[in-house]
Amino acid sequence: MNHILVIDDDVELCELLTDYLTREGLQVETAHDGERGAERALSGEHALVVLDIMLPGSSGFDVLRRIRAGSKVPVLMLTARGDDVDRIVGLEMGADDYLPKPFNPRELVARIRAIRRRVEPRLERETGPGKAAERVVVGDVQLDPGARVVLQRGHPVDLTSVEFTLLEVLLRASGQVVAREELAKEVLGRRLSPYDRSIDVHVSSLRRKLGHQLGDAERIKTVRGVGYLYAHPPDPGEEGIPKE
Amino acid sequence: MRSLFLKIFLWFWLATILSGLTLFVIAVATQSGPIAEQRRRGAEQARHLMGQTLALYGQSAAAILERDGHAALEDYAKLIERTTDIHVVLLLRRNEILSDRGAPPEARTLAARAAEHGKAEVASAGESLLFAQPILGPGETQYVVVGEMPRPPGRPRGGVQPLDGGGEPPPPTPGLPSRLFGEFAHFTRDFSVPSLVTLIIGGMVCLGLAWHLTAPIRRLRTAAQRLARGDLTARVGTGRSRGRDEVAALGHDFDLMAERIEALVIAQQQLLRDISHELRSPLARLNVALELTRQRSGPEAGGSLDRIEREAERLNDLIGRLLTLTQLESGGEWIKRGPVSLRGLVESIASDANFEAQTRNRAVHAVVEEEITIHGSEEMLRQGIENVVRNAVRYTAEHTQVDITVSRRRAGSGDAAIIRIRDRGPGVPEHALPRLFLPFYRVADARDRQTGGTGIGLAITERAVRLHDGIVTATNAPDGGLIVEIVLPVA
Repeated sequence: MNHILVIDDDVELCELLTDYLTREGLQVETAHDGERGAERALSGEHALVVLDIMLPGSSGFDVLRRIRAGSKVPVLMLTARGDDVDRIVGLEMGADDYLPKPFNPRELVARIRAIRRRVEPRLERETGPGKAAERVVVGDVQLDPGARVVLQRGHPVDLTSVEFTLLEVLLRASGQVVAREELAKEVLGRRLSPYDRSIDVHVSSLRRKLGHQLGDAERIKTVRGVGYLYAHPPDPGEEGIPKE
Repeated sequence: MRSLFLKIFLWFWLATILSGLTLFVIAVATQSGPIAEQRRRGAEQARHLMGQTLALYGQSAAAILERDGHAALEDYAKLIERTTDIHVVLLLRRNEILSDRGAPPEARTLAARAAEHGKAEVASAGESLLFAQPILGPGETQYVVVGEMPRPPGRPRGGVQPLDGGGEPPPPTPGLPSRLFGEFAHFTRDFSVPSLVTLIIGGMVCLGLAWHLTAPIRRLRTAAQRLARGDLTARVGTGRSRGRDEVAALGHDFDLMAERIEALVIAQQQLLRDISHELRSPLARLNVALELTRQRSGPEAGGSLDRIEREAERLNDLIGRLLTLTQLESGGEWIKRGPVSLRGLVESIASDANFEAQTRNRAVHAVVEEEITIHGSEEMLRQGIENVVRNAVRYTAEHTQVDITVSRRRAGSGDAAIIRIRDRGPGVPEHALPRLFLPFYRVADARDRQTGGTGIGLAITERAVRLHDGIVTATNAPDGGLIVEIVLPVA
């Protein structure tokens, strides 16, 4: 799917973007108000939504909330430069990544591509199509990359696509530290900017959704100055399903 | 807070004690009051009893005299004296003295007065008390009998002094102080328990009152302190809307003021956000238009387009800094504050700056001697420190390192965090040093354009540091390069 939806009330900018992104091989639909934007986003016809969080009347967050309530479509926020609060709130609400305005259009394309890349099964990309996606099981969590489904003690867990990829990377390296820069590259498809809290916010979401503890230990440990670590379960036989 | 509370408490206690003492002194001086009353009643009773006794005696004495004569009367009188305290000194029939047994001169006059008034009279004569009682003897004759009694203890010395309130005014009594002293002994004996009870109960009531009065003041202080720290939602509230008094009104006024401040700050922040949005929208469009042009044009246009891109970026950067400076200049006090770890902040700034510096053959190295926590705005401090570091990287010579050190200075008046950024560049001319932190000030135009400075970064630093009650100074290092020192008080 090459369809991108851009929700921004700046009509001229949308025209320019449509022009530019089309030349980059993407198909662009635009919406200029929150109501129509949310409607279109929930249609399921798009691979990605680019949402200006600064829509008039703080409706940017309303749109994000509505989209998240009904769809897992990846959302890239356009934020105000220097506004950390909006950025973090948006990430916590389920946006995949953000880009401050004014942005470099090349950067926008790079991020769009990174997000779309992430949605495709990683192993198929790496090892070629046809190979069955290998399920990852660590402790009480079971992750299926092919179906993009996560089960915890048999019950499905609702994760956004970026949270899913983040969890996959951490689980595959369970028991070992993964550097923040590495996580950004794998999960967000880009370098971390200074004071970029994106990865930290997504880790917080994971902790909240899966639970902070795994047995007696912290599920996802913060290793100061380095990155994050998903705890190795205490005894593979004790917790849930044994590794296949 | 305790001082006001204690003041009220002690003043009330003092009032209680003072009024008690004053009443005591007045009572003693004027012979009014409970003590004197008590005594008067006692005297009253004694006199009544005395009168009864004398009347009885008088009746018997008159009868004996009539029947048995003077000798028998004398025997009778002696008998009375042996069995009681009463010493009968005079017996009169009408004005005729029938028996005189050593009566003092005052007795005669007293008897005359008693006969005249028709009722008992008392007087003091020297050491003893004279009591004259008129009686109706046999045959309806009027007799007066005068008896002498030893003075009851405690009565003040003095001359003739009627106790029934009639007659001459009392002569001046000797020395109030000596009387007070004498009375005080009685006072403490009789009134110590009631006084103690009064003081204790009074004390507890004062405690309650003082507490009740100072509680709303304490609440007001708390709200004011919260507001000053940046919590714009701080209010006194109506609490137990018991008070319509002045303090409650003050609290109400405070709430109005806080509301106004909150509204102003919010409006101003919104204004800055709107300005930012309005200024940056054209830039956003410009960027996309630029890339479109790049897509459509050949490589020869690349250089010019790069130039345009750079200038657009500079414009964006300038807008950002100006908005930050504006925000700090007016309304910087209201930016949210919290605990900021200097180690985390400086190490993070250093590692990012180092990354960028490496691409230009320079380096940044930070040494944080100990962890220090500052109460302030992480964002403001970050920008302030980062601007200095960026400048340092910009000016330090190729293949050199910018050193950042963070240390703690201990002093009696309070500890301070010292952040030193030292570069190995050309330094700054002495005359320019004090003006370095002014907005748009540049040491040398040409050099700054080359290195990309805008002249606002250090102004932001100065303002941000000042909002944290700190000081920033720049000096030239003896062996070349500039040292910028930021001193921040530690809460």
